[in-house]
Amino acid sequence: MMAPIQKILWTVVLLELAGLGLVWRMRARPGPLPAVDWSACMMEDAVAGEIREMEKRLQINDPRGWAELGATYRAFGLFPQAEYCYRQVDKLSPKDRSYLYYWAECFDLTGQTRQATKRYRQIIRENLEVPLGVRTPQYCWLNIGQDRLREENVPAAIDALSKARDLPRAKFLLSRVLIRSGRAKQAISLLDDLLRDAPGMVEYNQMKSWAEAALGDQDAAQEFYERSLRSRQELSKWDPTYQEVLERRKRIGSQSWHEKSLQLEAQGKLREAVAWSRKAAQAFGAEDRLQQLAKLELLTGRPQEAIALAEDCVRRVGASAKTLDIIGVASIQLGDRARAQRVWEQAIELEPTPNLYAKLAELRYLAGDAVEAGRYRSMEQSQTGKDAWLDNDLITALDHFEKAVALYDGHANTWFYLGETRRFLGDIPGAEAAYARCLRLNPDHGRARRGLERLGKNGRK
Amino acid sequence: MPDQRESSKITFDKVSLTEGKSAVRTANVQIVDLDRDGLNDILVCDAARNAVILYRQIPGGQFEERVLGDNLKCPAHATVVDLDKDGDLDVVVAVLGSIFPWDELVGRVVLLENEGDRFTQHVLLDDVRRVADVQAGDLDGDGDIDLAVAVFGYARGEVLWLENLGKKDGRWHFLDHQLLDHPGAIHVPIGDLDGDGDLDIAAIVSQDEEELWVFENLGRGQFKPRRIYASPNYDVGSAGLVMCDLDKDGKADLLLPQGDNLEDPYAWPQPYHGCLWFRNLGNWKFESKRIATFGGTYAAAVGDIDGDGDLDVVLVSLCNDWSDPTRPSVVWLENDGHQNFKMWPIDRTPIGLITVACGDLNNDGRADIVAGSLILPPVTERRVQRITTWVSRKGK
Repeated sequence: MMAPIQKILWTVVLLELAGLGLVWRMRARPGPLPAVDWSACMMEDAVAGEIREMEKRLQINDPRGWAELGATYRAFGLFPQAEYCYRQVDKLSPKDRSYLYYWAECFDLTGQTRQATKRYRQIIRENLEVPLGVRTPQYCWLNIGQDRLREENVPAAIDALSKARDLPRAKFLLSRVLIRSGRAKQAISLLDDLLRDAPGMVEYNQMKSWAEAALGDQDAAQEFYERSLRSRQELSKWDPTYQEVLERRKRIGSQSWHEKSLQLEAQGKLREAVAWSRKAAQAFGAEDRLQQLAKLELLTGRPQEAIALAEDCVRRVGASAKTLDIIGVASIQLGDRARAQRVWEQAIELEPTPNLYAKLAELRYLAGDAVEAGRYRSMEQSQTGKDAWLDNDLITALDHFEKAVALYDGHANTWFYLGETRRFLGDIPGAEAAYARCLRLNPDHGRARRGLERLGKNGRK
Repeated sequence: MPDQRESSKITFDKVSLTEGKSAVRTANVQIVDLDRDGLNDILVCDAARNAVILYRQIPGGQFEERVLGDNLKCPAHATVVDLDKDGDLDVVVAVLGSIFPWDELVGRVVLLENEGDRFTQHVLLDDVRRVADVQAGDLDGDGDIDLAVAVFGYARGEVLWLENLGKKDGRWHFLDHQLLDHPGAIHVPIGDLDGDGDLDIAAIVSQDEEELWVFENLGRGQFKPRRIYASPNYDVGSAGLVMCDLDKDGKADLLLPQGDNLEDPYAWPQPYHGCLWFRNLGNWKFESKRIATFGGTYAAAVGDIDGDGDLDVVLVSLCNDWSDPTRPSVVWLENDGHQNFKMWPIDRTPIGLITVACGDLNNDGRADIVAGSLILPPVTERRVQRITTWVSRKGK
């Protein structure tokens, strides 16, 4: 048995040891950064150079410096180095919890789900509101749920996702897991909630279609499937912190020069924009940079240079409608209409846009070819109608499709979309006539056949 | 002179087919004797040049380039088949329309019809989302060649089969039928999975679903969908599907490489990346077995690499921790004859490999390897090559 005085003495000794340990932990100089083989890295040299400068400037006892370096490493895929940085922040400033979420993400990105979950749970326990505001704990539950799915632990995933039900992405993922688990009815209730707030969301409609199919209601499944086709509203796959990553990438290396060029262009400072754009394109000849430089050359009255750049872009990454359009516009400036027509015709094969059809119509009109001009104007209307259709604006779509077939009635797909639009608007005889016309032009049009079948089916109801 | 690589008891002679002017965006490679001259050629879908290119092998192990079709925006896969049954081989191309994730109706199926001195383009399907694969076979038993199509799309997509209605007035007629309304279909290999004499279709659906489907051919153009695998890990990144009889028991199996991590340009290998073998037990039962764990696995190919009579597997990695220069980008799995596999690294470069094929390039009876890299900005083209061959020969 220990005397009371001995107990007190031992307690004092233990407290002192703990205090010493804490002081040592706080004052300990962090070890060296995990080495990076810069020659093997996949990032451009300008980015690597800026990161190395940051490393040199780092004050090793400054937690904010570590956090900043960690965020930069994380943005360029150096995840073990980023994780190391957040570990240093934890040592140097353990009361600051703003880094915990990012630290957890580093573990997630390298597949260390258990380590990630430990940090997410810490955030939940302490009910922290950084970095994502009051919903931060719910984002942690969402990520824990996703981690459990990555480990194929479905019950634990359902449990975690159920705790993040204010987040549409969590609710959506939960509905997906429930359908797979044979609980489609529960999933439908979640999806109905989601659809109330975002009736046009592609993924919600699609998932609802699959849930209805799982419950055997094929008509409802078809209805929601068709709704999913007429929308461009897509659910983000990303955590909100990913936006910070994208913004950071814009601030470093040659991407920052490209961004600067875009800003200057928006301010009307075209000469300066050209200089930054050229610098960015020379450092890294990505398609968007070559296109930007070519466009600026065009805007500053240098069509030959624009063509040379656009041709270089085509050689490097292949033709795209946007690059060919630059060549077309530059050719017009140089008085070469034949070339403009050639490249615009090539462009609509790659990506048909109303703008390209309008330009081709104008060229044919100027050449005295009214028939071909009319056909292109019809395609311009058809494509505009399809854009409206894909945004579920059926009234606008109908107007354009009807104008399109009035201008030229030989395009099967226009008749198909006109049939679909009329069907969705309840004009059954009109839809039937449009599908029939489509099938006369192209008897192999499977979707038109299926549209007609649905018409018959719905008509019998 | 070829570079040499030792791997287990095999020595590989490594040669790169460079071009130098365009970005490195090889979408697909295959080894096939397209001109039927007895020497295997390399067929390439190049998403930077928007072209299907044949590297025709000439005596001496050299290759000469021939563009079979161009102005094909991001060709993802090309299937060689005598579609018109005139005795020569045609090429059916799956055209993505955009290398980047996009949901617009930019996909196509295009036939390059072999007319001897040239290949004539025919659009067989358009106004669909991004098309990732097309495969050929007589699916309705009427004697002509039909097509299975993987419309990958992005948020929306589908699996189709196209019924061949013949060529009239110089125009091909195919009627499209929908088999599945899921996005993310990558590959749709065709084969007789139930041994009843007709052709069934398999489909790997990636994106957010991570499901393996088979469509049982019931005859007369009718198919019964069966989902044979669904991963609860929606991040697993299914990346392709290979139909092969790996255990040589007379039943077609399926190989599923998993490791697509393309959501972000700086993606890392994950512990669940690798390759699954779905052994066909008959009666629509499949047993899955992990045969490799390999970060960023994007493609698999099958061949007898060591010439011992059984089938080995080659895997390539697309997204990995390439800041570590010791990581292998291509490995082979040696089959001990009982489908126990041992992984051997072959090479550490080039990196960013998205496609691989096996076939005998030097007529020595053993499978050689060809692989292609695909790199997208902002990642640099360091340590990548468009196309690389590793020709195997007996080691020391």
